[in-house]
Amino acid sequence: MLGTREIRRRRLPFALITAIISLVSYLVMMVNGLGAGLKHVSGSAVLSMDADAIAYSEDSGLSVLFSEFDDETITRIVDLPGVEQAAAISYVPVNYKRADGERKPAAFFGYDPGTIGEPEVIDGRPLSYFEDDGALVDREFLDAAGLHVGDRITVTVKLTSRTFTIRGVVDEGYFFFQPVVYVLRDPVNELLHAAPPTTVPLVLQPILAGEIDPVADASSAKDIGMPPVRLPHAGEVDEVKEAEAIPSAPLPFRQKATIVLLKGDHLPGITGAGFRLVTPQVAFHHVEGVAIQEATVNALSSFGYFIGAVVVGVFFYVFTIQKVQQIGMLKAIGMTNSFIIGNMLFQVALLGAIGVGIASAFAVATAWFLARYPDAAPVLVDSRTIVLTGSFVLLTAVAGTFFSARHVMQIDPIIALGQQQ
Amino acid sequence: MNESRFRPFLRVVGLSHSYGAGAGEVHAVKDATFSMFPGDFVALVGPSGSGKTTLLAMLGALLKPTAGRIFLNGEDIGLLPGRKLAAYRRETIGFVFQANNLVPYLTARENLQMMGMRRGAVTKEARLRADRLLEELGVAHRASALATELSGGERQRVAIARALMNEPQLVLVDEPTASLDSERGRQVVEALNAEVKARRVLGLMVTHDRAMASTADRILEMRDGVVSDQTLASVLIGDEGQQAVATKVQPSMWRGGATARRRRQLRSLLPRRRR
Repeated sequence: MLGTREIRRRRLPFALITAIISLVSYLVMMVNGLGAGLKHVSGSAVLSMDADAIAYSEDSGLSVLFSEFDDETITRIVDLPGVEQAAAISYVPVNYKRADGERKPAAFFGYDPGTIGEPEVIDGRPLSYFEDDGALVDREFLDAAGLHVGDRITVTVKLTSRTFTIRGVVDEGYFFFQPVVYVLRDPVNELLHAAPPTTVPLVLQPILAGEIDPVADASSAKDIGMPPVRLPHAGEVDEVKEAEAIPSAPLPFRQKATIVLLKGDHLPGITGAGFRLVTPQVAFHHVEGVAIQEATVNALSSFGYFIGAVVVGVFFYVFTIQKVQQIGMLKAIGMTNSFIIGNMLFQVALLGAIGVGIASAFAVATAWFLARYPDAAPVLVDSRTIVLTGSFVLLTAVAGTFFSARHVMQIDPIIALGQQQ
Repeated sequence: MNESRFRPFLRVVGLSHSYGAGAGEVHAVKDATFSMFPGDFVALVGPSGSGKTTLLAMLGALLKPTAGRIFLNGEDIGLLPGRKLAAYRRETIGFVFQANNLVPYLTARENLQMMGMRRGAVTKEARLRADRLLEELGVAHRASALATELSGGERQRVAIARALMNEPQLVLVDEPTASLDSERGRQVVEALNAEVKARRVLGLMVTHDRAMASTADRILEMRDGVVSDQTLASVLIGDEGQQAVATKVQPSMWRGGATARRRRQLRSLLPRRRR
């Protein structure tokens, strides 16, 4: 009765109190949302993988940039005792052209249809086994890139381009701060080996390909964006053409997969000749930059919680202490401690709930707004963030009030008389 | 003589309270002994720091005496366990504070109804009783006004109504006219006195105002923690039987106001000169 009527009849002060709770909650939610967003874009695709263990090559340092398997090693991994299902995954970072013409990076994962590496398609259709030019793209990537199912995307690795048609939409997240695109494994391997080791400098390759004639059109090199180089004389070109005839040296290693997903019992922790098995969580924490980024975000979040706790707790402590005279009067006229404390806690819980509700609405709206801009801060305000932060703020407010109320209740009700003398 | 008719509702025996200890010990109330009867409206006067508020707080079970006992209707308040004190204050005592001690964000009616809440809900009986009390005290037309919207006199009338909400046996009033002009103050005290009489409860009013005090049935004077009954002193002037209470009497300080009925009652309590 007392708590709700006080709120109803002293709207301005309580509106300001609610605003303070909202702002603190909003701040903590946004910091946590930023942490969740960074976690999402840094490697949620790894956490989404349907695997109990992920195999990395032994000396890769659990980095997809350095992990690579040949068929022989893959076979050894798949044959490990306890392995029930397996899927080889190839990874290549690419550039793709957005609808507005801007080039952006993307993470291409190659998988084999029918294996545990196949992502769940939420719109469109899955890829067939021979659909080398098909692609399944992440929903967020599709929205951000302004693309639709049926559109074509051209990707470039080094100087090699390849075009894919979007067949389906998946919800697998990001990897290494890049949107994830799933294609079949063969095209990824082809993109990976698009620029085989050669003794011919890259700058000469357009000449070898006959795209420019350095003698007839010396400015062509500049037209295709090549760095300024000394163009060869006519005599030298013949020598270069002879070099083209020399077959490339056989590759010492042809990668067939970057990582291998495994399902089965007691697999993480196993190491063998050329491989090491870890959980998806461990793999996630070894994505480049994730560990330091998580430490930074955790520190920010901890500061947010700490400052939020201090502000809310102290605020309600002072708020309660200011009611000493009124509490003394209520005690003097025979109101029980439980009645007084109950009213105060109910009041604070109500204010806290309203404040957290407003903050949640603003945080969700902010996250939604930012999501429309792919280059904005990756804030992810989900139900977990709201529930965690909301509970924290509510608990802190109630705890701050409870402790101050207990302190105030120790005060003798004679204060109701004494303060007037 | 009918003994039950004069059985004291309130009996205070050797009541003392000290603050601090050792060399810094202050004796706020020293060995106070007095009684009050049904329908008694007693004024407690004395300068600031004389111990009035401390005495009031002990009678209201807000402060534990360091010595002495308080019997209200035969029950020793000092023996009440802590958990029963709130109920005692709510149901047996009615407090009227100096000023501004209504809950400011409640209406006049709600301030009264709060006293009648049971398990968080206002009973129908409490609603009816609140309206009746406001009517009796002449503030029914302000029942829906917030406490902050009431005038000083109205606030004190509502405070008196609130104090009477649970039909207390003892109404303790602390400087009820401090924030009022003399006319409004007189009206408030008269209203209070009338309610005490009508309900035959006990009323004890702390006041600095001698004029207000003179409207009471009896005056208790406090000076340096010592209580003296000025009415009793006036009754006993020239009376040989005064020996029993002579140490407490300071006749020069009383200026009248006791009723003939009260004098007769008091005389009947005194030891007879000859049997």
